[in-house]
Amino acid sequence: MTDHSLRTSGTSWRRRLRPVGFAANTTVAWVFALVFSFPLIWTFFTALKPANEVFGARISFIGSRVLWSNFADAWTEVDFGRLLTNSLVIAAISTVLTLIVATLTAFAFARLKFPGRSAVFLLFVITLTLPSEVAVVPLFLGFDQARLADTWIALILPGLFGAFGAFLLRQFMLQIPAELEEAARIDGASTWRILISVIVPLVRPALSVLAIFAFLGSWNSFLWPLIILNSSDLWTIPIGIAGFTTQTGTQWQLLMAACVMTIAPVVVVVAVAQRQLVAAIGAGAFGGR
Amino acid sequence: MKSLTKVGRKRRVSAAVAVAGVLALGLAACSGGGSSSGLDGKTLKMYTWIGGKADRQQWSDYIAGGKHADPKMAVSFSGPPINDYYTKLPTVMKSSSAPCLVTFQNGRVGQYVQGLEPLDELAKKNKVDLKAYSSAMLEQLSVKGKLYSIPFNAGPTVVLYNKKLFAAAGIADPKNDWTVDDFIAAAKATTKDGVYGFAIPQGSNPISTIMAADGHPYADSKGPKLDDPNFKDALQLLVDLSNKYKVAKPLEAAAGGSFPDIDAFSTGQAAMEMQGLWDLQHEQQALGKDNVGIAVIPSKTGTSKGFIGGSGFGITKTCGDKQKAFKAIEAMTSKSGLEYVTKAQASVPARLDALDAWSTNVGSPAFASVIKQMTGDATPSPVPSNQAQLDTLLTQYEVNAFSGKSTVSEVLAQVKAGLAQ
Amino acid sequence: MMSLRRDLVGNEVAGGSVAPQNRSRGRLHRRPLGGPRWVGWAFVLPGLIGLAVFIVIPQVASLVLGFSESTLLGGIEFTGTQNFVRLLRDPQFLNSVLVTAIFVLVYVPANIAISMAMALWLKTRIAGRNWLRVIFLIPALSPMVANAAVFRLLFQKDGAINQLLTGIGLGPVPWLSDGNWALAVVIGVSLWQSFGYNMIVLGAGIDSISPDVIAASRIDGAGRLRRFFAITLPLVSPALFFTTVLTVIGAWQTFAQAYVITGGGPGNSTMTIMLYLYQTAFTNDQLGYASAIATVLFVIIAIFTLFQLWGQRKWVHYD
Repeated sequence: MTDHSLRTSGTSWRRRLRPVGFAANTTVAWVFALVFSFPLIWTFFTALKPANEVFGARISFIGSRVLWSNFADAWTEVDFGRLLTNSLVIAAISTVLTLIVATLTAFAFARLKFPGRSAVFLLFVITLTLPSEVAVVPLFLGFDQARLADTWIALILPGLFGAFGAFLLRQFMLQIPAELEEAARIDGASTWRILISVIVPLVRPALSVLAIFAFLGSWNSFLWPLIILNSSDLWTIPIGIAGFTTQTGTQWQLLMAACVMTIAPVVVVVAVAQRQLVAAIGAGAFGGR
Repeated sequence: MKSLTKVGRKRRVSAAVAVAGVLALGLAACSGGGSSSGLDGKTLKMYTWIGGKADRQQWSDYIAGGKHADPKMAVSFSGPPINDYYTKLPTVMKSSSAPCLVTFQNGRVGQYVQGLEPLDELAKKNKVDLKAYSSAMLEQLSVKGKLYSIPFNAGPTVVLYNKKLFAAAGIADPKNDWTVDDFIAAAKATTKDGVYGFAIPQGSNPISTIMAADGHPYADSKGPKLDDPNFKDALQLLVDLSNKYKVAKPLEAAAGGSFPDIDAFSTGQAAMEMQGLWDLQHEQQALGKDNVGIAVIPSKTGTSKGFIGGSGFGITKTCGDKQKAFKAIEAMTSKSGLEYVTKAQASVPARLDALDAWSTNVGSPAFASVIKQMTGDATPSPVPSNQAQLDTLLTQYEVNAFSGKSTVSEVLAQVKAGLAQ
Repeated sequence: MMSLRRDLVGNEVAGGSVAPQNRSRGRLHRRPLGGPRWVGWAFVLPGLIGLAVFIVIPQVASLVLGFSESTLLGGIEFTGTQNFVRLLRDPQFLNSVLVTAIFVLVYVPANIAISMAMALWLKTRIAGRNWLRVIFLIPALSPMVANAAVFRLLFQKDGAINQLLTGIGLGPVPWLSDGNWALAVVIGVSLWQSFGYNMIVLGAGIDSISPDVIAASRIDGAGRLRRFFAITLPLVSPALFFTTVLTVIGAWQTFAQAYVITGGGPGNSTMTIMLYLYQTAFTNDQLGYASAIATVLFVIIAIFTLFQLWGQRKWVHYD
């Protein structure tokens, strides 16, 4: 292999252009980001408009009046406080339970030999490719027969057992050197103890990833709550947003305000935790590597 | 071995804990709720449509009215937005938390008859005089001769118009004998400066209304009369209003159960709309009490007949105390109950003897004459059992007629094919 | 809590050899952990039971229900293969398959291409790169319902988008009155919402490529484009594969966008399979037929997934 080292031709002009290139690149990227964010920006401004200026021939960003009160109105209109509480609690519980189940299962696959393990593992693999929303009808009928329709249990349980979490964690657990456990085993640790004290701390990045997935999955879930919930006590935010359409039309400015209130926490979380989020999603999300 | 027994014991313990946990959760989920199905203790549960504050206020008002008539009455309510109400209703009626009372609009009872208790016997037993209610309305809430719901408000579809916009255009308020041509002329006059003369509603309601104005029912015992030339003409009129006369915005694809016409009218983007009277209160709030007028539906000849709709209360088959439920309905739809409601709600009571109170509290003599004409001389029409499907399909396919992609005949053919599925 | 001692014994065991020091078992072959063999069952049982009850059994039940006619208020009546025969002749259903297929075939490649391009772009020198990632990620993390409501307002005939377009002379577009445009809106909203997430995943895949490999390829004089196709792409293919499979599966199940923005219209140009299923089950009260639809959808997705799994052998480069 001949040593081409660096390309010498054109280096000097390229070096001179670098700051220009950097500036241009940055500008284009941010313009694109601005265009991309236009819907969200527009949502925010629409949320501040009076009702009769949402539509109409003369659309502008800022209406004739700036109504911060729309947020308060939206809040009371659909009892947003309850929606928020419901969504948060359900998402939190789902996340914790998902983590527990996935950890136990992954540990069994990664570290424990038991008769029939390959068969069970195969079953999990197969379900990984199953479309999740397809079987809502029997799922609904099942809960209804068990007289559990319209309960928190019905809302949370189906989402806890996806094979994805077990796979993710298994992947990470496989990478833990066996000698750590051997050492613990020699020290007399039980299997359970090994899981808690050895394995779990070492797969923390994967647990973060899974936690994020589980939380978001629950937070944004729409079809299943739509089907299983009847009473407004248990509504989550996505269902509540639909509640802005009443028998007397839709108050769009309030709906936009509610959307802002729904998306804003997401923005805050992402902004604050972006480094962890990006690292977490990337680090574990694709299994094989 | 030490580790073996430790694991074994731990495992047995955790297994026991897990089982206990599941049982506890199960019990927690199953417990709660009243001793009788559909009741919370002594309070009757009602399932109905609840979107925002206005909906909640309405039901509170009706319950307050019922209490005014019968202080022993106790009813609580819950439910989804109107979009989802009819799809969720069968689910709810079958579930363990089934209510005692349910509500229905404009005669949509047909699909749910299996879960409803016929009310004729209860009415007889409690000596309730059904003649106090408009017979056309009662017919809408009956299936095969059995009554399933007692109406509380009358919602003849009327034309609501924006008085300010009419004045600005220099045209007189509509009269009780105005024709379709008069209507189109008024719409043309008020279409300017980005405002349209008319806002077209989605679904089958405008079609059935226009047909009824000339005395043609839109459905019979076999279902909606999609082959009837009057049906076609009605839809064609709507399309023409947008495409030919250019007095209305064409309909676009939209989620079913939304009301772009109400949105447009209540924000002053359209001068007229065609909706049930129950929208009056909301429009008065949005546009100003004295700014909203109502008119009869324009007809071809000038003698318009009404299309009666109305919302009513029903009792579920699974209700644990049907007599109590009926008493509650009786209270809420009694003369004193409905009169009480007119103090807070602008919707027209379903009882003819409560209309005077309504006129005093809400309306004006002009309103009263419109109501009398619309309810007095109404075209009775059975409501097909696939009403929900009809509305969904029409909402989807009529957009193509507005965009010119299909003719009205083609649209109706597609709806017909969809219903046949 | 017990502390770990990485003593000599532990280190020697690292070679994976026979461990006479392993006190818990006298067996010769190395096993991952000691303990009775049914301990594994204890740990896997909660997940397995849940999987069986909430995922496997409903899928099977869905299959079974497809052979019946049932309504929400009535009972179940078994009718053999009647539903499936009806499906084959149901123009609404066949249309929904077509609509969803078009959606998948346009949306998935576009999604992957955009995500990949954005992932690469965000590796170049840009000021505030991390904040850009945040911005693109936000729609992916917020409920689709909220996003859809916003876009429904934006794409009205006299909505903001058309106003902007008219302002620059491109005229109003019949976004929600024309079938093709409506489908484009649904695809567009879906893309807008979701490429941020895939962008992060692919970005991480790119990151995990050893920098030595990149440096070596640079020294070899490989141009940007060539470098991408010959080096980056193969090395990121596991991540790419994973992303594509999930995106395809999700795309076939599109529901919320169609439900909220267009309701399946105009006509049935945006009626996806899941939306038709929902309507059949809950508006038309035909649960058996809806389950048959579910089964067919499942088969379609399975075919696509198997195809991708098979293709994995040829296209995905594992080292």
